[in-house]
Amino acid sequence: MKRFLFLLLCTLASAPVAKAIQIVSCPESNYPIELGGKIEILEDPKGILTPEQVINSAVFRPSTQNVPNLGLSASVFWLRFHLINATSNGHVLVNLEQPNMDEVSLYLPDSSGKFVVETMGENKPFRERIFQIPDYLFRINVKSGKEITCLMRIRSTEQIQIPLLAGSEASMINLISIKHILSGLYFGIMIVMILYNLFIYFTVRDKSYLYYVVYIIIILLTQTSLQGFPFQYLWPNWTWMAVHGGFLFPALVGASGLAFLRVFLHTAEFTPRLDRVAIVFYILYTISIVLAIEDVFAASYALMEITAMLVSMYMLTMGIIIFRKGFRPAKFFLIAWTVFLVGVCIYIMKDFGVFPYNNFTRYTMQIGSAFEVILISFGLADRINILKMEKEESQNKAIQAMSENERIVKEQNVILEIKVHERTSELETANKELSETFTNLKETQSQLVDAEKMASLGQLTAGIAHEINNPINFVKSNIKSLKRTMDEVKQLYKQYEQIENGPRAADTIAAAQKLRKELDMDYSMREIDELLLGIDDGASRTSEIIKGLKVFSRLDEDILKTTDLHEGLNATLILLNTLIKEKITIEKQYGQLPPVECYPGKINQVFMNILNNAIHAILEKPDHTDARIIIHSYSDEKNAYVSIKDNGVGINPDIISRIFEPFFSTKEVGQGVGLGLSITHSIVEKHHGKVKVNSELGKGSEFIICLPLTQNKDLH
Amino acid sequence: MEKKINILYVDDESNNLVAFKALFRREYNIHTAVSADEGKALMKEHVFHVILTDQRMPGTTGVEFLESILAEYPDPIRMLITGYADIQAVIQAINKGQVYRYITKPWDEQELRISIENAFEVYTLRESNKHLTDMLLEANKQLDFMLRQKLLS
Repeated sequence: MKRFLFLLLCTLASAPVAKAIQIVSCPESNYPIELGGKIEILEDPKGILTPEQVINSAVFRPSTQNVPNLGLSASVFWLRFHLINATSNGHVLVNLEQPNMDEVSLYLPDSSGKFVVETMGENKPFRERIFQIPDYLFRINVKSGKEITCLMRIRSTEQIQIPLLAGSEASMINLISIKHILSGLYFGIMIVMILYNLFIYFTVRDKSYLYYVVYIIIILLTQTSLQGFPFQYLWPNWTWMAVHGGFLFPALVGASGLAFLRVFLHTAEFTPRLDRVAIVFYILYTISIVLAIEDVFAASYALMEITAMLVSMYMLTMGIIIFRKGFRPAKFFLIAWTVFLVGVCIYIMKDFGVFPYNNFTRYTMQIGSAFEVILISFGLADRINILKMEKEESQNKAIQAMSENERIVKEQNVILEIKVHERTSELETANKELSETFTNLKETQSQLVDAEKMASLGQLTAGIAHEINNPINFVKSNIKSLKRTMDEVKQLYKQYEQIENGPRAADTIAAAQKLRKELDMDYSMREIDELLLGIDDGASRTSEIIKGLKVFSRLDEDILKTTDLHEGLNATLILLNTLIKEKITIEKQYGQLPPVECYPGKINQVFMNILNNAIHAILEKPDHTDARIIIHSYSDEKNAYVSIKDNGVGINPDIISRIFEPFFSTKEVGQGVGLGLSITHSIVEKHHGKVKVNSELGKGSEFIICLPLTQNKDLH
Repeated sequence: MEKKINILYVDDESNNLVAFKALFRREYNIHTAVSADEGKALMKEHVFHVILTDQRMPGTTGVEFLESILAEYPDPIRMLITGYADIQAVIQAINKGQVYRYITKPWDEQELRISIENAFEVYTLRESNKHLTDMLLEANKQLDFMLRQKLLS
C-alpha cells in the first residue's frame, strides 16, 4: 500500500499539464502506469458518434486530472490515447479501474483502418469478459516497440470517473492481487462483524443486533458493489441489478442505518420529537429508489446523496443529544459515526471534485465503514457490559433487599417469638386459672351435691326423729305406768298373801276387797294389756325404723350387690311415713322382680327422691282427697321396671324437659336446691338404666325407672 | 275441797292417749279423744280445766282445734304437745290459739305434771278472780242500791 501511495505521489508530482499529444510508454515495470492524465476526452451527448468520426477529431480535450472526473452524465464519452509498447511482450494491458460503468468499449484500429471493438460493462453478462475481474481490463495486441492509438467509449449512469492504467501483464497482475487482498481484508472484516453480531443477537436476543447485522450486510453489498464484486460473484447475469444496484444499495444503507440507529440509541425514548422526523428520510430514500428503478438515475443519485447528507447530520445531532442525556452507548456511536461520516464526506467530496480521486479517497468509505462497524460493535458489546453491570447492580440490590428482608424477617421473628411467648404464658396462666376454676367448680358442685344429700338427709332425719319420737314416748311412759300398776298389784298380792297366811279371814278378805276397789284393779288389769301392747308396738316400730334406716342408708356402699328392689321401696316408704301417714294411700303393685345388680344405697336414694317428689306433688294440690301413689314393679328378660305414679299437680309440659337439670326446681326458695332429680338421673345413668317421665298437668305424674338386671364389669 | 283436775287430751296416736291416761289417771280426771271433732264432742259433756293436744293430726291440726274452741270455751288452759319441731306452729299457737305452754315429745312426766298443776292454778286463779270480781260487782251493785235507797229516803 505504501509503495502504491508513493508511486501515486510521484505520478501526481510529475503529471505534466501538456496539450500536446502524448505517447505513453508502457514499460516493463512492477506496477502499471497511470494513463488518466495523458488521455484526451470527447463528449458525445447523444452517443451517436462512430469511432471513424472520432479517431481524428480535434474536439478532444486533454485530461487535466490523473483520474478524470466527468461527474454524472448521460452522455457518452470518448477517450483517446496513444501507447507505445515498451515491453518485450506482444501486448499491453489497459485497465479501467472503475467497475461501475454501464458500457466500456475499446476500439483498436486494425491494419485496414477498421476498428476492432471489445465491449464490457454492467449491462453485459459478466461471463462475457475475457478477464474475470470487476475492473475493465483490455488486452491490446501490439508488437513490442510499436505504437497504437486507442479509443475508449464509455457510458455510465453513475459517477463517471476514469482511473485508467496501462502496463504489462505482470504489472497488472501485481496491481490486481494487491487490490483483491485489500478487498478481501475488508470483506473479511465485514463478514466477521456480521457473524459476530448475528451470534450475539441469537445469544442476547437484542433487536439492535439484528438491525445492525442487516445494516452491515447492506453496507457490505454497497461497498463491494462499488468494487464490482457482487456483479462478478452474486449476480453475474443480472445486469439490471448491476446497473441499478449502485443506486439501490446506498439508499438501503441509509434507511437501514437510520433504522438501526433509532433502535440502538432508543431515540423514541430520548428524543421523541426528533425521532418522528426519520419518517421524512425514509420517504426520501424510497423516492430515490423508485427514481432509480424508473431509470431516472441522475435525480435518484442526487436525491440519495442529499438525503444521505441530511441523514448523517441528523444522526449526528441525535447522537450528540442522547449522549448529553447520559446514554453511554451514544458515545461509541458518536465516535463510530463520526469516523464513518468523515469517510463519507471525503468520498462525496471526491465525487464533487473537491478531493482528488485517488486510491485513498476511493477507499475512505470502506475504511470508514469498517471502523464504524467495529466501533459500533464495541458499542453494542459495551451495551452488554452495561447490561451486565446493571444486572449485577440489580442483583446486588436484590441481594441487599433480600438481606434486608432477612434481617427484618429475623427481627420480626424475634418479636413474634417474644409475642408468642407472652401469649403462651398468658394462655398458660389463663389455662391454669381455668383449671383451678374448674377444680373449684367441681368441688363446689360436689359440695352442693353433698349439701343436697345433707339437706335431704336432714329432711330425712327430721322425719325419722319424729317417727322414732312417738314410739319412744309411750314406751317410756308406759313403762312408768306399768311399774306403778305392778306396785299396786304387789300391794294387793301382799294382801291376798295375808289371807292365805292370816287367821281372821273375813277381815282380811274384806280389806283385800276394799283395797281392790280402791285400786280399781279391774281397770288396771285391762290397762296392763294396753300398756304392754303400746310398748310392744312402740318397740317394734322403732326397730322397724332403725331397720329401714339401715336398709336405706347403704348410701355410700360402693359395691355392686344383687338386691330385691322391693326391700328398698319399703324401707323408703317407712322413712317417709310421717309425710304419707293417713294423707296418702300407697298402692303397692309389686310384680315379679328378680334380684337386680346395683348399688343398693344409691337406688334407695332414687326411690326416696321420686317418692318425696310424688308426696310433695300431692300435698301441693289444694284438695288432696283420694291422694294415692301407685308403685308398680315389673320386669322383662333384660330389665327391671319400677313405676311410681301419683295423682298430684303434675308437671308443666314447658319445663318437663328441664326437670333433670341440676339446680332446676319449681319449689320456693329454701324448699330444696333442685338437685334431687339430677342426682337421680346420674345414678340411673351410672347403672346404664333410664328414667322416663309421663305427666299431665293437674292429673299427676308417673316416673318409670328402668334398670338392667345385670351390669357389665365396666360400670364406672 | 280439793278438786280433781279435768284434763282433755287429743292425739291421733291412740298409744299416746293410753300412755298419758295410764300415767295420770290416779291424779286427774283424764278424757282422751282421737280427733278434734271427738274432743269438741267431749267438751260439750264435761267441763275441762286443761286441754292438751298434739299438733300433727290429719284433718284439723292441734292449733286449728285450739283456735276453734277459743270462742266458745275461753276458760280451759290450752297446751300443745308435739314431737315435730315446727317454729311456725309454735308462733302460730302462741298468737292464734292462745297457748299457755308448748311441750315437746317425748314428754318428761314430772315436767308434764308441773305444767298441768300450774295450768290448773292459773285456771283456779282466773276463776276465783272472776268470782271475786262478780262478787265485787254484786256488792257494788247492792251498795249502790242501798246508797240510792238512802238518798231517796
